[in-house]
Amino acid sequence: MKGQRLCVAVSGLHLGENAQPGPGVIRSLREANAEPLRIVGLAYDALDSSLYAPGLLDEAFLLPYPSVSPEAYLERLLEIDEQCGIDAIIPCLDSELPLLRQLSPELEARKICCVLPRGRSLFLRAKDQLTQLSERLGVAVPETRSVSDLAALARACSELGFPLVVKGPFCDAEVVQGPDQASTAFERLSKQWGFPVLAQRFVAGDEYNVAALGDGEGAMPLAVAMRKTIVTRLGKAWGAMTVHDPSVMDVARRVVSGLSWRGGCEVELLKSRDSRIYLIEVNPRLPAWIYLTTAAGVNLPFALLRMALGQALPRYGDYQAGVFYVRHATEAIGYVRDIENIVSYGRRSAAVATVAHGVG
Amino acid sequence: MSLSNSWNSLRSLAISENGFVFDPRTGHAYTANQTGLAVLRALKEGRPVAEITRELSQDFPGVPSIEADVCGFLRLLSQLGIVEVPEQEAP
Repeated sequence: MKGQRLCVAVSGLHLGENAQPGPGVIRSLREANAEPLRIVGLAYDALDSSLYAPGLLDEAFLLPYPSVSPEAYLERLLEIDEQCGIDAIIPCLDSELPLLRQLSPELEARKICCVLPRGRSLFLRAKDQLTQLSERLGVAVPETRSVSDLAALARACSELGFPLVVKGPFCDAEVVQGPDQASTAFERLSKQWGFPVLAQRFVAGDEYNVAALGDGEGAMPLAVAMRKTIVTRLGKAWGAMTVHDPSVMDVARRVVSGLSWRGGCEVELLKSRDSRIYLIEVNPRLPAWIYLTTAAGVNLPFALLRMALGQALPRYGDYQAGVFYVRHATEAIGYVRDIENIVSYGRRSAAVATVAHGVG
Repeated sequence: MSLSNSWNSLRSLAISENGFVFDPRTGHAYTANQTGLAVLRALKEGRPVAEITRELSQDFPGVPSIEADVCGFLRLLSQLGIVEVPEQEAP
């Protein structure tokens, strides 16, 4: 420990329509530790919602996007370490993982602990590798075509039929009923998220997600399964309930084991009306609904922190089924001075948060 | 009518006194009336359908449709994935 309190940096701080995991991770960590933690937020945008949510962060810093350059990113991370003494990072965004893997020698030299999946595991779970992965693991996956132009989309439509799921390469999906809707969805998704767009055969059923921790050796020591109860236009779980479904957990275990996954992940599954389970996606970090696992009795973010610090995993009994959440969106209030701090100085401290109304 | 491979599904059901039934495998919840509750509890105890029907007939003498009612209830449970009815007997 570098300071008086264990200092954990957490990213993925925006709880918007496409919710990021940071807030749930932080809430879980704060509940787990008997000793108070110092939580440092790693933000990429001055309007990341957690910057203005009371009680979440002790400090927050702006960073350049991982895509800017590894050097700029590392320089900023080391500046933050100078100021706060970061003991561990829990990355909560997909785009950070390849970069942090690249920077891991420097992080290690600075005694900044972080659990990262292996490069090969990351590659194998990519959306455009899903069919190959499912074949290797013997897990069903809805038939999928990678499409980069309208001609390829038309071919996919005729091969897969309607309804059809048209998906962005990272997130966002639309269920379309005909060729015109498919073209509109393709244009929108490619413009917003880039290529390749994926066309996937529609399977009717319930969506199940499993948040899991892999030990990197093929074991899945901790996992919690849920069924989505409220799904947003983007396909995100606005509400969910924990479940005990051995068949869902079995597929999740095969995926985590088959990838030799190290660290936190989310396995997205669909159970069809005839009880067949399909693998939809593997996300390479803990999900936005992660606090549900803590509420159900298995604090996965805390376990991941212990793993990062090289400590034994906490012992939990089986989690409770029937614990549910409904996401409750509210307004996090900020003032001009808050924006000034984060934009001008790249830093915001809870201790100096504006308390007066107006410009202050 | 007989049931197959339903023991694990039935055993995991949480059934409250007031008829609230929770299936922890799916997270789905249902409400059952007192008769439905009695049938579910009996199934959970592993009692044969014929015995349950016979008992209900004794409790409600003169009601001619009890066997059909129990079969209908089992079909509903089958549709909900709570019990499995062998294929040749499925609705």
